[in-house]
Amino acid sequence: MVKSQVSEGSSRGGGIGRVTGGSLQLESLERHYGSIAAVAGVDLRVNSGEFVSLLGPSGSGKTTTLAIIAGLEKADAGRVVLDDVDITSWRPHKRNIGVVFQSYALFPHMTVAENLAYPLHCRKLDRKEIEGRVKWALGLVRLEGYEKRYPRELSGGQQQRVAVARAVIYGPRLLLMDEPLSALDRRLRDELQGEIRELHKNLGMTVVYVTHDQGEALSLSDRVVVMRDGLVEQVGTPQEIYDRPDTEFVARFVGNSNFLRGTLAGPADASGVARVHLPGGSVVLGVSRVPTNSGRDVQVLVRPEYLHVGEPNAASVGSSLQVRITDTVYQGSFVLCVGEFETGESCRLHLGREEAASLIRDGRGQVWWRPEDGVILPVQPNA
Amino acid sequence: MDRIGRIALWVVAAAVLAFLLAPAILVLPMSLNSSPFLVFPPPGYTFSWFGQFFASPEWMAALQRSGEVALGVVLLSVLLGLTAAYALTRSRRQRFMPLVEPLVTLPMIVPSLIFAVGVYIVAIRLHLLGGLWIVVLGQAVLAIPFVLLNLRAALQTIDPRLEEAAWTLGSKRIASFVRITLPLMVPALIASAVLAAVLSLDETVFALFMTPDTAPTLPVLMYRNIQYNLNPLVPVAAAVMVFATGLVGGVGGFAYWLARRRLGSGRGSASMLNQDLISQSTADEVASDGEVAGV
Amino acid sequence: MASGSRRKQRDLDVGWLMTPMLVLLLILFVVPVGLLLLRSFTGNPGGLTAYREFLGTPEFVGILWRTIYVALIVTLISLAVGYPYAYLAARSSTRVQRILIGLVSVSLFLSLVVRCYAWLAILGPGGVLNLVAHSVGLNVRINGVHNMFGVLVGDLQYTLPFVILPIYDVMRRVDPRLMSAAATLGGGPVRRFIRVYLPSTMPGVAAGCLVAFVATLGYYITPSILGAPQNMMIGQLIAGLMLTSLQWDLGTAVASILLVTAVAFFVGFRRIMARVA
Repeated sequence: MVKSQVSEGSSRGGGIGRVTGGSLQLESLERHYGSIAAVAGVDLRVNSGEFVSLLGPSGSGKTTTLAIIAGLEKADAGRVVLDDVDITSWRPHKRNIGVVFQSYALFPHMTVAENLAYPLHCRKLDRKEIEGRVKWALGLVRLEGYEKRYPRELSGGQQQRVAVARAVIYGPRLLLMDEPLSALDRRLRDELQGEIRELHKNLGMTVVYVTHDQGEALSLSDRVVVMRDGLVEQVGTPQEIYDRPDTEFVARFVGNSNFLRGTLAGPADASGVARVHLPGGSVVLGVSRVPTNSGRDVQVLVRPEYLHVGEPNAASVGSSLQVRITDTVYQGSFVLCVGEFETGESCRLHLGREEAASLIRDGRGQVWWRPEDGVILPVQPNA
Repeated sequence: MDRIGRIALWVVAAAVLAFLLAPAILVLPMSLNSSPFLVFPPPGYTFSWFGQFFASPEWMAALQRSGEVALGVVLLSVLLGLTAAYALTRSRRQRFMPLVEPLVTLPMIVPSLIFAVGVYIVAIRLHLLGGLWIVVLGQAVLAIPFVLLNLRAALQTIDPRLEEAAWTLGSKRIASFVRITLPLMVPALIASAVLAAVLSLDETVFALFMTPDTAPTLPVLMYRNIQYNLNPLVPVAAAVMVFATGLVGGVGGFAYWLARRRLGSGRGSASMLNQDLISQSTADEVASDGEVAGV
Repeated sequence: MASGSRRKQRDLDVGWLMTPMLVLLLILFVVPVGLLLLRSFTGNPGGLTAYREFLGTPEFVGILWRTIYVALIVTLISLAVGYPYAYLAARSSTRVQRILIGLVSVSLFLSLVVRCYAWLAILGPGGVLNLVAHSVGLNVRINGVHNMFGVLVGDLQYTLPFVILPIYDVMRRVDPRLMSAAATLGGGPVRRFIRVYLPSTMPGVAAGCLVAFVATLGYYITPSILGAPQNMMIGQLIAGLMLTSLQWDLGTAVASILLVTAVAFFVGFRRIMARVA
């Protein structure tokens, strides 16, 4: 059994202190169902103590990958290495990994305390230790006093907290979470996200978190792994994923986008900025994520919030276009303007009230962006 | 529905119930009938027939055999039914499972007489007749379709994730099953056991063929005595059978009720596929969270 | 860095847990029944001789027809009485429903032998029926046993619940709004019943009747106790041939005929239901 490095007797009395997060390595993982590849070759390294999200649409293989890490699914090929130990052929009960399921999977015939004590019984802790740990775990998730309740008496959010407590009570170095918040409403989700973040900070274990909600992934993770069709599309920090996506798929998945199609006008300069010819003659700038052969078909991605109205400053002169506004939607903290670029492609802008005013008044105007806010991406046949 | 119609329906219903239940009810007075012939009204009541029954080695042996066989049938059919139901509901190889269904329903379709004859011609060659084991096996075959149906339905309401969760928490596969799924199945197991027990106690045709000259079970002995002589102990045997099945049903029913209560019904039953629970209880979350946060 | 190797074996799927039950069913059911079928052809002289003998003996054929006839009657009576019963149950409060259906189910708990014996007492010359008749002044001597009447009564004991339960089940699922909708479309209650309600309960009716019919064909205990030799049904014929006169060629042939009939009815039923759906 992979030992959990538990420092006993922490200040919380009965609980465990920080654990050293385990390092996880996935090598060429594959899992097929008949002719369909759920996981088609996944390589990933997760560092000790990192919070990593597997982000992707349903069918992207993220849940299957998680199941393989937990040992609930067997990989057809590839290895799972935890703390430099190849655990690929290990049964789940030996892996000492914490797992939080989407449906919480709390044992309905046991009380909250019994649910929490279950993994401790498996590890043959004595009664006093178990009592102490259970108390500590309940304190972790702010459910003190709920020992004798049954899962059916708890609300969704409370059940989720118990599920998390149960998964960490035995001090695993790796915690896997499969869309744990997807069944909760917005308000609860935000609240529990904060609690999960805090838990991770305090306990220090490595977390692999599966979600299809990009906001969740961006706000929780140290790094985000975007998956698609059983493969890793891109790995990076939330900022890298958002501001420097590698592909149109990643760009679309993690936020709103404007795309402008064109051809590369030349190689990128020292800072990575290149020029793109748009149909109709305009030239725009952006940071290039493609090999810079001239004449390539590319598309320029600009996030709605990076578009500004009016005359560009000196550095951004090359990145401006005319737009025509067809609709305006007040979104509270910003105004959403929808319309078309001069190239005919649709555009979305997130503007402050003043900036939006002139645009709305005239129904048209000029917008610009800083070159480093534009991203030049390859054109994907089916993104 | 108009009154006349309703009254007519109730008359029919009463008649049906009387028809179906009268025999059971009449068995007791019959067994106390002081006359050895089937006469009504009984000239007098006596317990002497009961006394003779319980003193008779033949009848008591038959009673005991019925009990032993029933026990064997329950154990065998529940065990095999449980494993099969588990395989049906939890296996990944779902392509083969639909083929199992017709096979399992065969004992329900084919008249038990044919089944008995088939086994008879095999058993007589292999000198297996007369033993109680063959009776246990055959009646288990008859009971399994019902047991399987029952247990499969129960397993389908139990979230497979529960065992997986236990597995990740550190208990081995079988231990997870025993500590998590099995307790949740207790009501269904009890119901299946009762079903199998009653089926076995009542079963006559197969047992008859397997014990043509020897060692019969209680209903078989009854049958023989009705056929060939008018034995005054027959009604006593009938009363004993009614009592026995009633006892099994009653105890089983009570145990079932107890088990269900322990697992909790009402707000969320033993299945915990949580989605609807969540939507139902998010409103409460506001109140209860306030509680906890204020601590 | 070692590359992932293609795994040969998977985790052993729990499907294998099916084997014990399958083995039992195979060895104790499929094989013996198969052997029975085989035996009907492998006697002396074998082939179709036994079948021809059966079909060529008028008494035997008469028994077959009688059995079918009885089964039909019993099924129809069960339906005629059971449908209203189920209807009442389906339209009553939950409590009453539970009681009505519960009592019917409880009646199944009782052994056939016990019940047939009780009917002997009730319908016989010294029995309750006569007692009741005399007490109301009817000077008759009712003998309801050792004749066809007794057999019918005995058969009904088991077929009634088997007919009532599936029909009730189907009725329970009929959407009450269906009838309300039909009412708004015009047409009297009788018309509504015949055109809307009845058809939607057909699956349950058909299932129940099928089970009742096929089961009655194979009845052995009931006619033995409550019938006379001249009421012999096919089950008794088979038992006699196999156990008493040891004419196994003939016995297995008749049993095979019964088997094929039962299976054919069920398969045909499934086909029709699939077509209708």
